[in-house]
Amino acid sequence: MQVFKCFFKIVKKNAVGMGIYFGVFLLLSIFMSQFTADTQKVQYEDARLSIAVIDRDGSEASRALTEYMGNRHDLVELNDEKEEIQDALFARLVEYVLIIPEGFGEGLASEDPVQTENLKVPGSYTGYLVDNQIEAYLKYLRIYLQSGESVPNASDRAEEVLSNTAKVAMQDMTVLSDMRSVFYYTQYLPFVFIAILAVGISAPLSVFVKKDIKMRNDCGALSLRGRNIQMLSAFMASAGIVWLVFAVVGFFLYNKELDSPGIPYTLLNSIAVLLVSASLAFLVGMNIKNENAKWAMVNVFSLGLSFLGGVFVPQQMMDEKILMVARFMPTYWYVKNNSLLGTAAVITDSIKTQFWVGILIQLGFAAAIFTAGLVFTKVKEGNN
Amino acid sequence: MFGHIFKYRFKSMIRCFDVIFWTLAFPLLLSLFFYFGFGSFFESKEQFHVIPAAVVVEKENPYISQLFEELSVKGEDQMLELTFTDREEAERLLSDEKVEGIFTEGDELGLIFKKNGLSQSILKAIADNYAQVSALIKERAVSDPAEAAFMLQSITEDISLNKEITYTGGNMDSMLQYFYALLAMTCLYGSFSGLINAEQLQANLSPLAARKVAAPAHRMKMILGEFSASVLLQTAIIFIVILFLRFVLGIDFGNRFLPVIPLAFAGSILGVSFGFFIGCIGKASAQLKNYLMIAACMVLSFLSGLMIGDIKMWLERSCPIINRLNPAALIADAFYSLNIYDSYGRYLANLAGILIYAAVFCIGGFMLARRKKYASL
Repeated sequence: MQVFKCFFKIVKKNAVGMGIYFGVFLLLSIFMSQFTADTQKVQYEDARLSIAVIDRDGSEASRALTEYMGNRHDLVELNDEKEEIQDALFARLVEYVLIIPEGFGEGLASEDPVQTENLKVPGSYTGYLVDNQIEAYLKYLRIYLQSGESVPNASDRAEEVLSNTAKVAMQDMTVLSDMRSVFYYTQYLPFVFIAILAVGISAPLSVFVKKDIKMRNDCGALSLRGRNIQMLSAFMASAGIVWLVFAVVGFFLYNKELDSPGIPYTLLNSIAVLLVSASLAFLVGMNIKNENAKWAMVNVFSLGLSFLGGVFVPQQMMDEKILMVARFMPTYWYVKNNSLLGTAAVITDSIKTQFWVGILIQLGFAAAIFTAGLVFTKVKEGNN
Repeated sequence: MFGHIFKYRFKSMIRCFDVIFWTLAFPLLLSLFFYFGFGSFFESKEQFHVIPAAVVVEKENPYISQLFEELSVKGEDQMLELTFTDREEAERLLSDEKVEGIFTEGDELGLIFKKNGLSQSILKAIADNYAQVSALIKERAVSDPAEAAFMLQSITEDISLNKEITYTGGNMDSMLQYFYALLAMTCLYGSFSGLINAEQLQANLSPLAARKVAAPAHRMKMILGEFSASVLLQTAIIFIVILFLRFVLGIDFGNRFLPVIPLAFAGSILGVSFGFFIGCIGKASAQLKNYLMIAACMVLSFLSGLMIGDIKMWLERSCPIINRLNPAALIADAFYSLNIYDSYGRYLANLAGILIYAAVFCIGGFMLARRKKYASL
């Protein structure tokens, strides 16, 4: 098993390079799991945004307004400083900033009320929604204040009116509002698999196809078939070890979510993308000799396929035209499967069908890339 | 001698694959990926567009019909695009996500959704407004018709209680922070040429360096000549990336271009001097120094928001010192402040931080590189 052992010795030499990507991936997935929404409901819920209220008035009315907005949205503490407010808005730490100026409470019931001020992303959905909520509350509060009610009573009555809401039915009771955390971990697997396999396990392939080494091996006692079987076994074993490491890390980090219905399917999905990544590693290893060019290709493939496939940016956020092109990427189908499984409250037959289609497409890509790698190698050998 | 070294270093750098790929081609490719990924997110997903909805009329209601008419009239204030159809077709449209929700018109206004989201919340807000007004008027109409009339008048009063203000005239697209981080990464990737300069100056790291060390050229002239050539090339590369982002991809950075020039220059010096400094430390192999430098660039770029845009704001609130010390964050923040703020205070503070780092790396690198002697080559 000389070739098998030699394969692993060469892989070990690239441990630092593989370690960099492993580290970046871990940082990414642990960080992303902090930001995932906790909503996993199948019933309707009003959008709950992060907003800030800056109360410069301090009156009963301003406190009532703040409390009302705090019940509907998540209040974020911000200092009354222009730069802090602007930075928070730009970074979407808050989607809306409501400023209650001095004199608001005193003038609310008068003919010429003091307007509240708002900062928001101009022309946005979030801005429209919160504007509507504030106007509605203030309108009813003002009506009851004008009819002589005290602020607490007026606020209670305004909220009573606002509690009249339309009835909502949900069409599909099997889809969660957001992915479970573990599926954010699996979301990034294509990026790290492609990078690690292309950096690490393509290296031995590059060594074995070098002209001098190949010619020496051809003169040796071990047949070409024997060498190829050992190389292929080592190649698949290395890929398997990489998969196992990430599976174990995932199990440790997300052990509370292992009873999710999509977990067995997601393991299969990850194996499919592993095969795609292994075929890319094969293509790179067999055809790119220059170390610098290899690093360049690794980054182009891993980042390019990840961005275009929707690994870093949710597919719902991508333009339709880009999504049309993305369908030609294996990572698109992996992410589509991942989202399906991540938001499924129940694995229905429809989900299973879509899942298996995604798996088959990924396996098709893996086979095509592997074949392309073989063809390029043969053509180069023929030219030489 | 300085001119000679400068000229040939410049020529060799533009033919060096590592330098041209990592500092020019890779940022251009990455910017393309960013653009494909989320370049149109602000316009297509954050900016308000007319919401498509289906209407199933279970029972004619003139008030609801009037509401629909007002909200779907073509023009600047149009909110909804309505399709009046039967229940089956409406459910199909909803299932295929051709509409965001279904209104059911009857004695009350009901809704059917497939998922939660902002569009759904806005449709619900419209239906809620109707439910609130009609409940209020119905209740008052029985007990006190005069008050009902007063309430209706107050509700429909044309008075705005909340007005919009703005602190900036800049581009509020939050996806820009990825492009700022990309520009910061491009500056830091100048460290590749800095590292090559250092490798080609230390006789224990390359045969070329051994020959150069044996030559009678003044060491400091060599260092400065090569350094200057690398900085000039890196500055040109950063400008190419900025121009590509602005004019090819149409990324709007704001309209102040002049302050970008010193920022790009300072960023180049920082990047090149960083690589030079790493290359001059210790006796480790060139490959290990390369790995260290790549790892450092990736971590600093990650912390400036290259991979997760929110991270810089998260750090600003939990551990702001990291943003103050991270050179990539300083560069990204300088570009951000040019876009958003009219005044130059924050930009100048970031620029000062970048120049301090550049000075530290330059002095450190030069001190380590000068007067190295070799007992044997």
